[in-house]
Amino acid sequence: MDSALRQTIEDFLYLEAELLDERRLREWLELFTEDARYWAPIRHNPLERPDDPAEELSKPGESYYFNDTKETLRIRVERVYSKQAWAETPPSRTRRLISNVRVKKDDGREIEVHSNFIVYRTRMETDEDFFVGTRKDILRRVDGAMKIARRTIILDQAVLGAKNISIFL
Amino acid sequence: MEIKSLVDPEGGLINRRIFADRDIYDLERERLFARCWLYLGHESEIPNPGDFAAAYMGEEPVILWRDLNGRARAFLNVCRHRGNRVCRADRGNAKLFTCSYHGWTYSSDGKLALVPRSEAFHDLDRDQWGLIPVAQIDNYKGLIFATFDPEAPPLLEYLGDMAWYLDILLDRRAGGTEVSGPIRWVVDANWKTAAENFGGDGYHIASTHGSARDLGIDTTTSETRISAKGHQISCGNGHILVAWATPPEDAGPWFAQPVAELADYMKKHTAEIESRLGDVRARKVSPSAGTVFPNLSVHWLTRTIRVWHPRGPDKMEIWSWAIVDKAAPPEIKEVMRFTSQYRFSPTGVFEQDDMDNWIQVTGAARSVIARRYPANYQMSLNEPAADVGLRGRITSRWSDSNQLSMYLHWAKVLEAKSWSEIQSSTA
Repeated sequence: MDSALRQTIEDFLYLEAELLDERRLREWLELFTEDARYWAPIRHNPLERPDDPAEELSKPGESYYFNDTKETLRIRVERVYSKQAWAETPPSRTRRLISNVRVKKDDGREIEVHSNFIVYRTRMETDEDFFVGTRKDILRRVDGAMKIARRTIILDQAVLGAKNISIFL
Repeated sequence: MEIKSLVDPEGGLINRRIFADRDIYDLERERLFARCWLYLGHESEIPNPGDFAAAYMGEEPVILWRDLNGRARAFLNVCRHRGNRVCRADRGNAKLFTCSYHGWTYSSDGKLALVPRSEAFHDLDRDQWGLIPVAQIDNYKGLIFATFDPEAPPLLEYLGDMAWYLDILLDRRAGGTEVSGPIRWVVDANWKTAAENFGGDGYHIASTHGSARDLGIDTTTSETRISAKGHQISCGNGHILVAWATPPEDAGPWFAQPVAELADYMKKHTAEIESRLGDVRARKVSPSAGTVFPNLSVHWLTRTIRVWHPRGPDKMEIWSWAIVDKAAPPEIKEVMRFTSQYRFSPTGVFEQDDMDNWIQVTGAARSVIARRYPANYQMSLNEPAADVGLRGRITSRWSDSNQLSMYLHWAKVLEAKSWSEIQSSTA
């Protein structure tokens, strides 16, 4: 895969991370296409080691952390800006490290990109959480700009160690 | 310790120690979690012989396992040999569990089927060394409960009038319900802070969940909120719920449904719902949230059930499921699951805002100074019960009477040496 494309995509993912870490959530939302899906499955420990690790993840029709459209994401974003969104008042401080960016497919219109993340969150006095996992994105070229058409967020924890996910991953 | 002195129902006061003290928590483990009927899982999670699902009863790890004859059983997830867990998976299908440590192997009826080098144990009586079973296991309309106490009353008697209200969620359509989940997460709060919240606290919604309400992501409709007519209902045995009173001009099972598609769905199936539940439960009352004592909570309107597993005095692990009508079409099931999980889960726009409240209530219970001052449960204190043609003890929506009745029962269970002592004074 050509390294110029990977460079472009890395720049895009770093910009996205910057918007989230700087809490510019309305600008972040504009990175999504109108038909975007934002999906984060839950996971379980299987009895036997599966051939495909995806067997440990919930499927469509089962439970999830996120199963959002752009509209339901927008409500989450606007909620954070409202006065009584206590989970984000005072706000989380996040620092996200995005790495291991792999361009998997490019059909000229859409690009499948995988990346890993570590998101450190601290809040109030000493609250601390780590959200660690991988993301599988479908990015789409729209009028010369890169947009997120589909994001799958796969967290490594089976029992989430945090009291909530009031941030975006 | 005098547990009863920690709960003052006439004064509406609760000693904060109940949310923090290790000795109270240890007593809860012995007298409450090892004695009460506890929720283990839904029959739709283990439909076939050999299917199992990991569960907890308090802090005790349990395997819910459908045996090869099709009977649901539950065992402590502990090898009788040294104590290793025999099952390390969350769910699956197994004819046998073999302990990884030395290979002791158990069949789905709990029997010790195989012991490697058994001849070296001389007279090992394998019948005496099976998995430790629960004392009683039973199923109420899909919800599987168990207790470690052989003296506990039968499940139906334990649930009492709460079963009548649970039917509104579990039995309104032919075929019952099915679940998805559990979504699991850990919160540094005492389990009772959540149990009392779901069981009675309509009061917190305007303040805690104002942002979700303003954005139209409520657990009911704005018209329901404005009319604000509802009840606290105490069913006895510590079971409590809050419900909306349906207005005569809009009296049907669709009332208070939080999403238009679900109101339409309920309208479409009103005849069936009414034939199954009768006029009162189909048209006069709409439960929103409640707690089956001690730690199963239910949210009727968003179709959510969850268990607050205790993990010490100041920590719990939440297991949450979406529960949907089996007879609903796939697209409605999807709406039901989304209605539940967009509101009630670690990402839930409703539930996110609850967590710090419960964490900090637990924190105050550790404060040397704060615990000199009791917590206030005086809303509509000592109000008389109303007769509105419903089961249980009915008080106004803006009341702490549910919470006090839960804590009175809690104190009774902790003080009682036997089930007969608990039951004698329950009424």
